[in-house]
Amino acid sequence: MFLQESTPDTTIYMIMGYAVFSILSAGYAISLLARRRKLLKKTETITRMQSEDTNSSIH
Amino acid sequence: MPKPANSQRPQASFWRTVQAIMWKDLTSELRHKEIVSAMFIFSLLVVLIFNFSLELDRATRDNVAAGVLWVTFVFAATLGLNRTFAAEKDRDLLDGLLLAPIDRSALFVGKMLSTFIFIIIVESIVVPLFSLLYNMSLFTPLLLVVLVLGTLGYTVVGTLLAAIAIHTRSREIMLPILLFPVAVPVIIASVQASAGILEGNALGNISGPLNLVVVYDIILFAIAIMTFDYLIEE
Amino acid sequence: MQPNQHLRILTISSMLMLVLSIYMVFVYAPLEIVMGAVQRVFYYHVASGWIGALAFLITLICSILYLATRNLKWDHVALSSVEIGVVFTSMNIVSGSVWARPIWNTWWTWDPRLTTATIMWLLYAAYLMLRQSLENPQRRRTFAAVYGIVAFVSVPLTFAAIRIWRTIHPVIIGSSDPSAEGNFEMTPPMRNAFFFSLFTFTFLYVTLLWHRIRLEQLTVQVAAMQSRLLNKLST
Repeated sequence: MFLQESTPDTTIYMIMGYAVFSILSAGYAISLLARRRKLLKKTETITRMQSEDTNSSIH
Repeated sequence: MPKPANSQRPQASFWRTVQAIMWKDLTSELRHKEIVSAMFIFSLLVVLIFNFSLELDRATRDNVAAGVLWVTFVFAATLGLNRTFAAEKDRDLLDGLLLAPIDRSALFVGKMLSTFIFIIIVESIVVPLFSLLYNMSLFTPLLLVVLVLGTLGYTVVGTLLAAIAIHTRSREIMLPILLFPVAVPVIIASVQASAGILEGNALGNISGPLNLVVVYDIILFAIAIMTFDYLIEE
Repeated sequence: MQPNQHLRILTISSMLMLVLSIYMVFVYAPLEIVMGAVQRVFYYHVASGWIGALAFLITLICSILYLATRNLKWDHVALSSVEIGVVFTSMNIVSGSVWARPIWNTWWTWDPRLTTATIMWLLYAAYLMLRQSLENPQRRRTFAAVYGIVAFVSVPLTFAAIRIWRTIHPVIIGSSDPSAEGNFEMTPPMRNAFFFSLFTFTFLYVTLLWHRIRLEQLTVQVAAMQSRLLNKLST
């Protein structure tokens, strides 16, 4: 490896390496967002159900 | 053990408790014989499968014997560890055992020692059979020391994690997943020490892995004693 | 509103730092002559490995604190840190494998470094599975804390267990094993890019941790709301 004269072209591996970083980190960020959105939606549903429940008990 | 949970009453001494728990497990096993026999049959099956899957001729046999032996014992011991708290759990006796006014560390040591004895019984049957089937002598005192020390480390951490796994939804599956990565160092070191002994090395040449097994045993025993209290506090 | 604002500033600044570090890695740092472009993987490879180790150390500390104080916040930090640590360790392992293909001429070898990293990944994947399979919330927290401690202790032990072999993994910082393949001397711009990547990733870790902790707090809140509603409906 140390005897070769010219620098080998390893660009494809560099691109693969940085693809790994970007895919995994983007995937994790998206999963965080998705989980947060799902929970917020659930909170909304629960609040609505609670208010419906109190309304029906008043009537 | 119907003891009143009276705080003024002195707790039973540590070793008395350990003995009582061991005695309970050993007599129960003497009656049912399910853990030791299952581990034994399973060990034979693993040895058999290894023999055919690796197509063991004489030369390869000498090279892989230590690995085959340890993998066999690790798999078989996992079966036994899965049952460590299972009898109590299935009959809803675990809470009773935990509510008893005994030292929790004594409970851990008792459980650990009874499982250890079961595994050692199985090993003491399988090792001669292994020597016979593979036509190689395993009866060097040093190898038996490594077997005991390695098994001890594996059982210590196995008992701790069995107490965790017993409460999970799929406990038989969870125990190996939790246990194997934690137990890797003791398995690697034991295999290295055993391979060294089988190659005919003297004590000086295998002292590295052997020391590691001892260090591992001590560290994990300390952690297990410190954290076991928290596992049964609920 | 106030902590929200802080978090927004933190998020935006870590994004800016990430952009700057990408510039430093690809433009500012020179091309390494022997290995070629793939050497640039090294900057983020080491940074993600460092974050993996840091995250699991934080988990160890928070697990101990949780067992000592029974304060929920420590459990939230411990879980969040494990999750982020597993993501970064995955990056570290996979990017290392990509680097190894042209340099070591193989995707994988059972080198001590690689073996320990894999076992560490398995340990914390098991931690996450354990949390999934325990239904009682209090028991889940306690058991996870105990496993968080046991897992961290076994990492140095595993490292010692396999250290008996020589490593071919390069050591860039500090002295190097002569049998390592793929070593290189860092020029000052490389060094700057490297330390800036480490700094950026640490910053990114703090940001992600904060976001993940907020998510965990929301999860607990929703679970509480849900059980309150169920109680109300059943009466």
